[in-house]
Amino acid sequence: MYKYDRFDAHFVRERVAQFRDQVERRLEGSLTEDEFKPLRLQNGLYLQLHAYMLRIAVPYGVLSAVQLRQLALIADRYDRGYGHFTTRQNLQFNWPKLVDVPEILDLLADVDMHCIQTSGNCIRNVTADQFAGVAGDEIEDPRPVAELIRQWSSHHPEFSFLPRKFKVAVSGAAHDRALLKAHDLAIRIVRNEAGEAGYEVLVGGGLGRTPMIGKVVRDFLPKGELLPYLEAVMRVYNAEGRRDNKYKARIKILVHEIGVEAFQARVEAELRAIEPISPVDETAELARIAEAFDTIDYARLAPRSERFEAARARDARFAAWAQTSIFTHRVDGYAAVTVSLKPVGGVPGDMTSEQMRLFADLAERFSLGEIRVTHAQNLVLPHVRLDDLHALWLELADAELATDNVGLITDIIACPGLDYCALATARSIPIAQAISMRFGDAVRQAEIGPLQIKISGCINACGHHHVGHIGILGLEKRGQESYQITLGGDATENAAIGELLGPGVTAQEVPDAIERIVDHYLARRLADEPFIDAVRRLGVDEFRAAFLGTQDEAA
Amino acid sequence: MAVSTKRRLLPVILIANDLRSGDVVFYGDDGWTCDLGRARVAQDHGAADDLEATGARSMARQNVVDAYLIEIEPTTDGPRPRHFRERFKTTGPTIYPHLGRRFGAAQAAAAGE
Repeated sequence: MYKYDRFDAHFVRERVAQFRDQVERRLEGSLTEDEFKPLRLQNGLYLQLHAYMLRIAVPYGVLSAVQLRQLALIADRYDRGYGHFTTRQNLQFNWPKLVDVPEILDLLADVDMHCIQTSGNCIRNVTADQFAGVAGDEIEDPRPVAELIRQWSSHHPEFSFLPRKFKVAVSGAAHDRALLKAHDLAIRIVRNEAGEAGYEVLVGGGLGRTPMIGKVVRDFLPKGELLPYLEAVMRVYNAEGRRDNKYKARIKILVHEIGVEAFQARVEAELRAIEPISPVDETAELARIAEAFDTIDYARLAPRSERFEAARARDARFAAWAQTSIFTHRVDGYAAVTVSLKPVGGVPGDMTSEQMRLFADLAERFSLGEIRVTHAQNLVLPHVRLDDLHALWLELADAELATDNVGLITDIIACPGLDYCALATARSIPIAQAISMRFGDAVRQAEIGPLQIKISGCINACGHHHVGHIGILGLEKRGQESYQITLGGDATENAAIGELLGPGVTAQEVPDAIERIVDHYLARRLADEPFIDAVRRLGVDEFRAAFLGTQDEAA
Repeated sequence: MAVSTKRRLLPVILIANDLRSGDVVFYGDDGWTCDLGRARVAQDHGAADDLEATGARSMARQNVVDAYLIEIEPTTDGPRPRHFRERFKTTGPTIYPHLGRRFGAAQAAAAGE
C-alpha cells in the first residue's frame, strides 16, 4: 500500500473542507444546481434515479482491510448497508444524502480515501492490473507509476476542464488484465532491446457509443520522460478535442479524425515546445513514491504446499474453487486469490457491510491486510500462503463468498443499469441474474469453461459489453426494454469489439438466446478449445445463425 | 426526460428529487410528498403547465432538483407511470424491493413549496 505523507493527508482534508463549504452554499441557496453540479461531480457525487450516488476512488484497485472496514461503517451509518464495486475498480454508495456527504468524506479521509476526480471532465481515477506487484508475468510493479500519475493529475490546473472525461490505465505485465486498449490513455511497462524498462503508450481507446481500440503512439518511452509526454498528450487533446459535441469529445475521436500519425506528430511537436518548467525530477519522485509503498516481508516457502495439495485431493469442491480462483504469485509458496462477488443469482459487484467487515478480517489474517478490486467487479486477496488456502476457503464459504465461478459464464460484469442509473435505457442486473440462474450449475459452468459476458444498460458501456465474449446492450425499443447481443469481443491484449448478432430480444428471451450460442459452441468446439477461440475459428456468422435459430440442425 | 407540451400525453404528474436527501418526491396538493398516491394529477394542458411552472419555481427556490412531468395512467392503486423508467423511479430498484423508495420514506423530509 502507498502510505500518505503529511502533504497527501492535508491535500485530501483541504478538499473535504472545500466540499463541505460548497454543500453548505448549495443548501442555503447561494449556489444553483447548475453551478453546483460540476463541483459535486468532480467530487464523485451524482444524482441518480432514486437518490444521490457517491463514487469513492480506489486508486489502481488497491484497498486495505482498514479502509474496507471504514466503508462498511459508512454503508451502515450513511447508506443502506451495502456498496457496489464498479468496472473502474471504484466503490459506489447508492443512497447517501447530500447533507451527509461532507461527513462521509471526513470518514474517508480518516483512512486516506477520497472521491476526487471520480467523475467530471478531468483525468479520472487511475486503474491498473489487479495483480500489480504480485503477478508472475510482470516486468515491473506498475503501482508507483500509477501513483505518480494520480498525484500529477489530481487537481491539475490545466487539465481539470477537459473536453470530456479522461481515463488512464497502467500495467506492468505481459498479459493485459487492465483493459488497456479501451482507455483514453494506457501505459504498459515494457523492455527495449537493450533490456531497459520503459513505457509503451497507447492513446485513443474507449467504449461507449463509438468503441475504439487504443493505438500505440510511443512504443518505448524511456523512464524519467513520462510526465512531459503525458503533458504533451493532454495539451494536444485539451486544445484540439471537440467541445461542440459531447458525443465526439473523447480523445479517441480526435485520434480517429486526424489519424494516429498526425496525432503523434502534434504530441512530439508539443513535447519539443514544453519548457522544462517542472522543478520535480521525475526519476527521484518515482523513487520517493516507490519507497512510500510498504515493503512486504514474504516468508521463504517451498513452491509446493503439501497441505494445499492434500486438501485439493480430498475435497472436490475446494479443488473446483481453487481451479478458478487462484492466480500464480511471483513469490514461491504464495497465491493471489480472486474472490467472486457474483453469487449465482446475485447482484454483480455488490457487497454487504457485514461481508465487508468479514472480508477485512480475512484480509488481515490471510493476506497481510491487503485487498485488490478488479475491473470485473471481484475482489482479490493478493498475498495468501498456499498452506492457508483451504482455511481461507472455509471462511469464505461461511460468508457466502466462495462461489467458484471466476472467469466462467456466471462471472458476469453488469453496470447498475436502470435499477439505479439516471442515464440507463434498460436494466442490466436482472439480466445478469437470469443468465446466472440459467447457467448456475457448477458442473455445467466448468464444462463450458472460460466465457465472459458483459452487460451495459445503455450505450455508454460502463458494463464493457463491446469487449465481452458475449456482450449485451440494453436499449429501449417501442416502450420496452430490448437487448442487443454481440459476439467476439475481447478485453485482453487481443482486444476486439464484438459484432452484433441480430435484432434486439426481450429481457425474457435473453437466457434462451445465450443458451443457443453456448450450445452451438459446445457442439462445434475442438477439444479444450475456449469459447473465444472457437468464435474466432468458426466466425461470427455461424453463431449468428445459431442465435437466430436458423442454423442447419445437421451442421 | 421532460415531455414537450405538444407531445405530452395527459394526464401527468410532477416528479423530482429532494435537494437535501435525494429522495424521489411528487408534487401534491400539500406540497412535495414521497407518496405517489398523493401526487396532483394534471388532466389538461393548462394544469400541466401550472405543474411544470411549480417545478421550475421549486428548483429556483432550491427545494428540489431535476423536476419534470411524467405521463401516468390512473389506476385503482393511484397513478402509474406509463414509461418503465419512471415506474422504476417511483418504486425503487427492482432487484432489491425491500430497499425501494419507501425504505427511506420515514426520514425523507419532503421539501415544502
